[in-house]
Amino acid sequence: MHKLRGLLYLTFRELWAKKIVVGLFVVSTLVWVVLMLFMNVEEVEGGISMLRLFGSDVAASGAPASSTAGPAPGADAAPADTSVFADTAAAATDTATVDPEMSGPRSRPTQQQSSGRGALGLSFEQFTVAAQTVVSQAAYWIVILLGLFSAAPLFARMVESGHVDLLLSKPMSRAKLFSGHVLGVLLMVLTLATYLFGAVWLILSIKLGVWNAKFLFSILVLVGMFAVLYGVVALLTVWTESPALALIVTYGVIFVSIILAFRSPIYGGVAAQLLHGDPVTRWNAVASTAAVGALLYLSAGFLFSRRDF
Amino acid sequence: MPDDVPAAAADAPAVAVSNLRKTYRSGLLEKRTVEALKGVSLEVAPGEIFGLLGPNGAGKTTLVKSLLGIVHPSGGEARLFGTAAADPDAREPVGYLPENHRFPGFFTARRMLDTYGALGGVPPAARKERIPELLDKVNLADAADAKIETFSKGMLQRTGLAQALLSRPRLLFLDEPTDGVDPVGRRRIRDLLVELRDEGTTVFLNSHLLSEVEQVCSRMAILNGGELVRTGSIDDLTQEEHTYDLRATPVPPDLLDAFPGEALSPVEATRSNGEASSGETKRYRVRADSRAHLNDVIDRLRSGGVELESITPKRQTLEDYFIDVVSETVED
Repeated sequence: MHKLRGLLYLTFRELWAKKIVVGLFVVSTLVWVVLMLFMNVEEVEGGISMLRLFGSDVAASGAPASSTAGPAPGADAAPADTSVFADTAAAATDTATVDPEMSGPRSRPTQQQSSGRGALGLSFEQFTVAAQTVVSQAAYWIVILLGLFSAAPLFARMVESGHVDLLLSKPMSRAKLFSGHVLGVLLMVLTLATYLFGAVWLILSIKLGVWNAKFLFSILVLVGMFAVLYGVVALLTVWTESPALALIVTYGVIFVSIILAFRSPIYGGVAAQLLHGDPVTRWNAVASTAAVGALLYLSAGFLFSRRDF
Repeated sequence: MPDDVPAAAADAPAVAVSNLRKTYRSGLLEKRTVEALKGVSLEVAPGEIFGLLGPNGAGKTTLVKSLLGIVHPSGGEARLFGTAAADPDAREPVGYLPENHRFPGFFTARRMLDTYGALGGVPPAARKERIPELLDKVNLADAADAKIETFSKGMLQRTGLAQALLSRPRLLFLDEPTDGVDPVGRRRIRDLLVELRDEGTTVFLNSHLLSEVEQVCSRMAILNGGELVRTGSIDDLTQEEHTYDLRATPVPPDLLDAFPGEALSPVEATRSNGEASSGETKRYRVRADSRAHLNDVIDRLRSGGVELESITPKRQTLEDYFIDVVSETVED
């Protein structure tokens, strides 16, 4: 157990020494500080009439506040002067229904208010889902791209001469060394994702009174996708010893996956379905991605165990 | 020797290598092969300091790496205290200082030792007790909380040595341990190795510094071109066959001329041994094919009125011996 703990600590410290990871934590902190201190919503009869960031209006409807709890125009078509939040909300409303179990304990606004729509044309649930969608989509790309950028050289560093000798001379199998390293990287990504998504979820839930716990599934989806892509990095690095090549190919895989995503989106699709409380319809995509990930790690682990250093 | 050593392991040689072979293969289309080890066999007894010598590319590092599971041998057998070297458990009683080691520069010496100690399975309480003790031993107590990236080459070597000693190993592999270390530091490391040997630790020393090997090793092996060309105690290996150093009062010229061939010849003063003569005595080289021949030379000298002060088997320096052996095997 001491050995695994030592390995996890070493991986964590190596990642922390990469300033990008520190930067990701700082950006995450900024996101939830902004949401906590500088985001204000104005409600009119249970709906959102105005969204303010840093005291300025960033999303408001020119239409008068609706007094009814029926569907607002913005739900079907985004108003011309709304921000990305309203657009995303509109998209969210188009593709998903609001889960009735979404609302949890809340003091403000009331359950009745939460189902209403303000001048912005959004209910609290819709706004919450929209905000969470924006955060999860943005965080996905930031964490995946920058996370891979900072973690890719780590594997190369582990197998470089002078360092790998020290590690392999310890009384620990190569399989344990390999899996301990991967586990350390994934735990760091999990920590980062939990730090960002957990805090955003908590702040939005407290501010808007909508406790959409399904948002937290985004953490698992993000870590899962990162794990698969890190498998590409691990395989190529142990094979070619070139972190740059590994990173280029991994980014190429991401690019291809974006194109494929139009046909069968994995992250966007599954994460959005989980977020909105919809049944997941693309389990085959999830399963095939997991299978590819497993294959990548098995191949990388096999090569690592056979190589001379 | 620690109490927790199994009896079978205690009897087994610290290192046992039998017909060990390693062939490196490279190239995707045009396969290239390099035979780094060509059937090496050797044994190192527990508690000795064993030196492995050889020119660059002789296969020394490959041999050490094969013993530590860093390189997979192509054939043969390697065991550490009776356990197959490929088994991770074989490395439980082992400490290793690689050549050109690279510790993460962001660690302090103390934190690095703690982390690598954990990787070696050293419990936290033992690490807490042992780290200050080791830092003091390698003269790094003052730099314990400085970042490794600020260390000089010598300090890095000493940190690496402390890392290798952290688990109280019974077998220590050191690859060029004094590389970049100043003379004072080198002396401390040599003293430390002798101290470890006295405590029962086996040391496997891979070094280019022949004088260092000569000073601390009890036995050594010379590896050249992947083959083990000599093994034995340094005294035995460096002794020149049938040649002796004689110190005596001056031999009269007519008596000197009476010895045939090179049986007796004066040693000229050279820069390295400026003491061909000292006071009333002079140095001579005696070549005798047998003990009887040696005694005959001595008798004739004494009967000629020469007074003997000392006669000792002539030894080569390890450097001379090493160069002779390596050149010889290259010519072969």
